[in-house]
Amino acid sequence: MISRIMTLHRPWMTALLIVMLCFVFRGMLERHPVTHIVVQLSALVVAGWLAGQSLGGALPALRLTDWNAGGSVGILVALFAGAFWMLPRNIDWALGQTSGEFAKFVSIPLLMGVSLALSWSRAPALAKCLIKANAVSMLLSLSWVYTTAPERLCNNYLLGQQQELGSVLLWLAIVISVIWSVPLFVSQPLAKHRPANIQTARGVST
Amino acid sequence: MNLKGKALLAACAVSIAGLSALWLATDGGRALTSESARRLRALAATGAVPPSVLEDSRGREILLRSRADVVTLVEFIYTTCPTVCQSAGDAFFKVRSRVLQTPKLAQSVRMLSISFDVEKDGPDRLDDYARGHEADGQMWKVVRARRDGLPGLLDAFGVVVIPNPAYGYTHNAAIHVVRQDGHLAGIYDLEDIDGVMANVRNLVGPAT
Amino acid sequence: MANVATTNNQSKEADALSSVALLLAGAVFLLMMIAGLLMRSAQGKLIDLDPTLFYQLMTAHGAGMVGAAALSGAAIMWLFLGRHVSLNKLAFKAFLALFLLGVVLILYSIFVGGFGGGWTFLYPLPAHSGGVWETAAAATFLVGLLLVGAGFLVLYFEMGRAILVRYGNLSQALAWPLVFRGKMETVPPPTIVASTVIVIFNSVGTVVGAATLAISLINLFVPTFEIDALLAKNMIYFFGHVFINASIYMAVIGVYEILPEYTGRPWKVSRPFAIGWSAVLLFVLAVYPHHLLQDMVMPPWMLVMGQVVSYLSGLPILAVTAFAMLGYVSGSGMKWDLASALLFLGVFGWSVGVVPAIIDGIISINKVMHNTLWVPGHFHTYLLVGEVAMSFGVMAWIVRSKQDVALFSGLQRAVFWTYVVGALGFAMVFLTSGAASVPRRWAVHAPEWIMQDRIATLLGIVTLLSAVYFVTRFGSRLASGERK
Repeated sequence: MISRIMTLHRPWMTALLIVMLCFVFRGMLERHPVTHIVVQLSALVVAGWLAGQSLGGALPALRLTDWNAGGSVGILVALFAGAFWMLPRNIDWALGQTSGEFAKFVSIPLLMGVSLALSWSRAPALAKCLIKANAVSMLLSLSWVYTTAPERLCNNYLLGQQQELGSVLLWLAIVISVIWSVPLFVSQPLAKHRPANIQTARGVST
Repeated sequence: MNLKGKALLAACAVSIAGLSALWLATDGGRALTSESARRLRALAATGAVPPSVLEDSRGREILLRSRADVVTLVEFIYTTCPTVCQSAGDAFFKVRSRVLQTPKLAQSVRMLSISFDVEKDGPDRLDDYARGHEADGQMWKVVRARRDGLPGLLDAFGVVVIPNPAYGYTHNAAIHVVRQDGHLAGIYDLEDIDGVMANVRNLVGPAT
Repeated sequence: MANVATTNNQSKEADALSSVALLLAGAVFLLMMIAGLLMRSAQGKLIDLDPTLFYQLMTAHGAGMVGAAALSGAAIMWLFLGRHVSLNKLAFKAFLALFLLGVVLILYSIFVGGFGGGWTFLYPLPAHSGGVWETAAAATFLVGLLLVGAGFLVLYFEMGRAILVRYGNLSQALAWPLVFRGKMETVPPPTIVASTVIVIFNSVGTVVGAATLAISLINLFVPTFEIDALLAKNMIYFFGHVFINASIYMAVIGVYEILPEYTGRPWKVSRPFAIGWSAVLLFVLAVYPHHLLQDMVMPPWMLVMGQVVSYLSGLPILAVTAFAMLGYVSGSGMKWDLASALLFLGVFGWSVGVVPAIIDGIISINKVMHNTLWVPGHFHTYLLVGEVAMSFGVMAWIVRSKQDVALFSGLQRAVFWTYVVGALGFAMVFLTSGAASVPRRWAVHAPEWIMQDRIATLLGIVTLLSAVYFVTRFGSRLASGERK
């Protein structure tokens, strides 16, 4: 089974490589909150996502079409995991203790990346949209928190570094809103004269 | 959208598990940062600090937990610190003035300014810091940690020291109250002298 | 309309949902008019009202009217957009549920918690009540607004999704090929163009608003996390301006869809129409600094932009709506009834309301007028005579019957004209008081202003009575199933 996954689905290998790189260069990446949170944590999600795509392709049963109908449960898991790792104290935990580092390297790829990969494409377009809008809104609020907080929120980072994270989050919010909205204006028109009441999975986002 | 049957059940289970996890991970919504978490933990007084051996400017051994009948106030510093550690010295100066106002407190409290900069803070610098803040060397001692015991010591108090490119170090500065039996019983901002005194009075007991 | 592709059942359900929402909005309009009347009569010393209660009423009146205008607008947009695309009714139900939950929290925060900081929750007022309300009350108010905002996002995203499914991408739905190249294979109907513009700009506005609310909430509980007051004001007015404008634009869709039934001339998307609405997409997002003309610390280019865009922003839609409407109506031999008259009045009020807005958008005038009753005069014109009249018009259209045209000579016509006189007069008193430098947001008025307040009270009563007629007529006809 494993050999089948390996041969058929290369993303799995890429995922492994990303996790290994994140681990080997953790000292460098974790020195600054921007590289830690924006680069390393995002890379771990991406790794999980790639692995999840491979897994889902090789073992479609993992998509759990009944228990995870519409991808709802997988997305909920990812949202809760995201909320957990958004807490500054857990970032300190990941930096200060082996248990925290381990939890980070396991839970972010699995609970966020893999579960999103197995669920996202099946989610209703409306839900996807709301989650994306919430993400932008959340990034804006967090960016404000990190740029204005008068004290350090993570004991492992300097106040100036925290403020740099805040500005990077603001740019991130702007960039992802552009990335998410521009395709809506330029994507190919659907077939002409499509009846309005047709039910289709194509939605605002893919 | 169409949450039905198994998926609804699973979504409820995940929501309950997720909310409980967040509840536990924030001490019931009370602590979002590790700093507030360690202060909450200290108030519960569940963890004993290690019996660390420290040394003063003459190389004499000073015990973090020396006598079972005194409350120990602890600050972590490095003497070349241009900012927070000088405020920490001021804060200890103010605390001592308040403690000395009541004889019973004066007998039941001792104060330690512990340097974590074991490389650079030699005897001269410890003495300088003590002189600068009028530490008497009896009730209030300026000491440094020993290299082997330092990680365990900082860990027990939840103090994180990180290098700061502009000057020396950045660390979470506070006044730590260690109960007579060696349990950490409170962590206070350097400005919160009233909070420190209230805790100390409570620990030393009435007739003060 | 040509592309009506929804089944009968679907559109009936859309009708029912929209009617419920419109009735709800109508009820809120009436309640908030009573609140407004209480404030005006208290200023006129006709009743004795504690100033604390005055500011609670003012907060409720602002939040309630903005909410009801947006709710009625949303119901109208939902009703008519459903003629062209396939909407999932669950989204509207979720919207209504979130909206109602938000309203409950807002009312609770005001009348139980005592929050009276104005609907714009301008930082740092919610956190500094001087003991009038607790932090929890301000937080409840903000959470209530957040829920209402979330409800609108659900609604807009569902509408956006349905538009994309039908038209492939937003450029098509905005008729951009027509805008830029002058021709287009299948031109979308006006409702689609307008809805797409509204969905885009109000989604942006609401996301920014949600971030502002989240920030204000954090500040309430962790006061050391301070907000830059100017940034907060910018964000709040960006959101507030976009949101209230959207409510009018949503209601205008009713005009595009209903008037052709009376004139027999379908409302077509011409190139100017498409350009006008696309211009609005830009202007409505760029014009908000005209709310901050008094903040001299603002970058001057933003204030200048606010002034210039003020001139421009009202004109394109007015041109493509008001003038086009006159064109469609004149010589069409259209029959007037309550519905068509109210819709016509709505476009008129909206057009006229833009005039004092443009005047107030001039920096030198704004410095004198901004904190006077001139500003309430401006927005009462384009809301009370504009959006609200359009909503009443759509209500009357939903429950119209064949005899209405014949009956319009009697009671209905009298009530209609009473509303015209009452509402326009009520707004005019605000404007004249503003021109005489009477300050706004004052619970207690100086003796020389009292006469104006009393005239306004009288006109307010007249307006309220005719509004009661419109809403109860709608409600009772709905209840008795007397529909088309």
